[in-house]
Amino acid sequence: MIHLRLLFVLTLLIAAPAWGQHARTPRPKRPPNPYRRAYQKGVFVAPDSTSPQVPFVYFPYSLGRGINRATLGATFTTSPRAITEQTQLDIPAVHLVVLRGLTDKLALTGEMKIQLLQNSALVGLRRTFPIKGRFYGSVGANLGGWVGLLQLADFNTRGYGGMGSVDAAIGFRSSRDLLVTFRLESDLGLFNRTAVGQTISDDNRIATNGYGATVTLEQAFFGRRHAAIGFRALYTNFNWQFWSLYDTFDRNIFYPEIFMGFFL
Amino acid sequence: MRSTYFRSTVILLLVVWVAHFSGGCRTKYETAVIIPQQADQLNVPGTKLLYAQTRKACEGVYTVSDGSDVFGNEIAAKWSYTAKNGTDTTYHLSLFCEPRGTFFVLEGRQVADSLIFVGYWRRLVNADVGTVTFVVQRNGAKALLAPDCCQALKPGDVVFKGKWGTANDNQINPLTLSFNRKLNPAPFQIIAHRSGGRTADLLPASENSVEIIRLASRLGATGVEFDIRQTKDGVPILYHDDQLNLRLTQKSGLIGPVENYTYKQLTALVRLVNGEQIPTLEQALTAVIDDTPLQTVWMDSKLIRDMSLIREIHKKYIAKAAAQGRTVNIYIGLPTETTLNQFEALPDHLQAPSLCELDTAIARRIHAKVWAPRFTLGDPTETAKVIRPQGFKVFVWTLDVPDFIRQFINARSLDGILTNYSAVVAHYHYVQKP
Repeated sequence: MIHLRLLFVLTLLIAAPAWGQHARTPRPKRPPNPYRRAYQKGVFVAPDSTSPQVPFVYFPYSLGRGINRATLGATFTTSPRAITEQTQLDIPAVHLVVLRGLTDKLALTGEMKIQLLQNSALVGLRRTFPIKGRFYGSVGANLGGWVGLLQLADFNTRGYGGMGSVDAAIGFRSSRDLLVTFRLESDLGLFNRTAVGQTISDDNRIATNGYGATVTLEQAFFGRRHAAIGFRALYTNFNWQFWSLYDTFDRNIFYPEIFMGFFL
Repeated sequence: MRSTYFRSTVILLLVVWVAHFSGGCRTKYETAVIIPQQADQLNVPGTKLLYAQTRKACEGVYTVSDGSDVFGNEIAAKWSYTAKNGTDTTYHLSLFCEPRGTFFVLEGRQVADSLIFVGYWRRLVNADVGTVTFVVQRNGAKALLAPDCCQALKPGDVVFKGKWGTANDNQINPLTLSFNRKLNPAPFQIIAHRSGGRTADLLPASENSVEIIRLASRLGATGVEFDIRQTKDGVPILYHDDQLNLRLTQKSGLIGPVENYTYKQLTALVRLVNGEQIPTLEQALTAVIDDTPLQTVWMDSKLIRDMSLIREIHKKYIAKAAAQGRTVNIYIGLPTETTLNQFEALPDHLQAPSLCELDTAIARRIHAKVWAPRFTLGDPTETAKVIRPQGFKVFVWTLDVPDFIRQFINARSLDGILTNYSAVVAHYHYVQKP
């Protein structure tokens, strides 16, 4: 049922912009958007990274040197039944994504997921390039880690680990400034250390944990606030958000994740 | 207008993609790993069943030469049996390896002056599976078949020469085991979760079924843990979850808690994921005592309305085991305050063997035989040092992480471990040097 709910929420979010733009009339006058004007004239203009009109953090387009972009929002991941069985855990996390232009084609990326008892952070580099017309691409690599401390009720556990990822993305800029990004990633596990009381378990294998696919939409939703929403399908045999469940399966498990972030 | 169509198409494709990755509306569960079969080489003319002394002498810790990269450096070999109708007994030699919860299940025969062992191997953490054949020839077979074979074997006396294959490949990979030493003789209970193992581990029998109880000792268990609930008409049954669901049962049309249905309704309409019936507590205890060498039963009280009925069954089967000369310790598990209160309301609760998951003060108050803390609290060595001399056993639950299992066993402060990976616990326990 959770998949049905995810699907419903995502469909609603996708449909909402159209509803917001078509159904709400009259809309207050806003400053003219040069990109929309360009579209109306049948001329495609690439997003200008220096302009606040079309901000992006996922879309694979170059960001001007020294320019920063960031979103703050939330992600929701549901627990796989293979591990949590009859118990359904929906774990929200505060989600911060930052992007800083280093050169015309290279950007520094950063991502944090904060759940207080367990948190993760990734930093990386992303190189962007135009493909053709409205299509753009990027490749990137990230490195980071997670840390968790669960000392309540029947738990006296703590852990931390290192992780990384490589990804490739294709972006499409539609009319009305909708930035659609499709990203494939491969997740690496570098090491994990967990402890129950004084007993420690180390896993120092560097291995591919799994892979994922993400689709992200970035737009001024409801015609007002710029936001990014997305869905990530992750197939992995280790998801740091579930470290405390001590899953021992050596097989990839599906973790669906939806996220939403508002541009700061 | 054209861009609107395009946008609609993009949105539609995205929705389809999301639906595809979400796997539809219903969680899909993986099915049991199919154990590969090979041609029957055992029940042919010229083969003989193994003598009890030969079986006993086979048990031990073996050093792996060929194949150690896949199955680890040491393997523990242990026999178990399954009885049918109290008479037809099949003996299995299980081999427990260190990497990834790997185990072998073999049957053996004497062929002239050699021994042959045929069976399968499986990794519990994933779906890897395959077949294997071992032959013991020359001096090794002589040592095992000699009348005085139960004298202590020396390292290298017995060599199992084998070939193994995967589910798709023939047996082309060599695997050689050389006898090294006897199994660790220290008493220790390897208690299999959910009556033998979880359905999520893709075992050939469903969790909390009679069939998994019969399989448990082949997987390394010396005991089992049941989950007990009561049907609408009060019959104690084995079932874990709060609801009838596709994780545990095949599609039946019934929904809601098992407590909403009579036993007759459940028997008629519900099958566990691998096709078995939901067993009653009595059927499960009968299987343990009549069909297996299991020594411990942990009856976890999930949702009990009539604790006195559970106690009556408890007493009946303790007496049954004793009458058969079996040593089977059957404990009423007390995981919550609610079940504790029900238990304490029994007039003879101080005499009833119980297992307390709550704190040690409560375990003392109710004269529990076992104190069983959760493993996530850490190694209970310090508490165990205090409580074991007072006559309590200490089991931890539910421990599956190999690193923790090894360290908990090496601490020698426990009497047992409840686990989904009996094979892993069996390996670390049996290879431990006294």
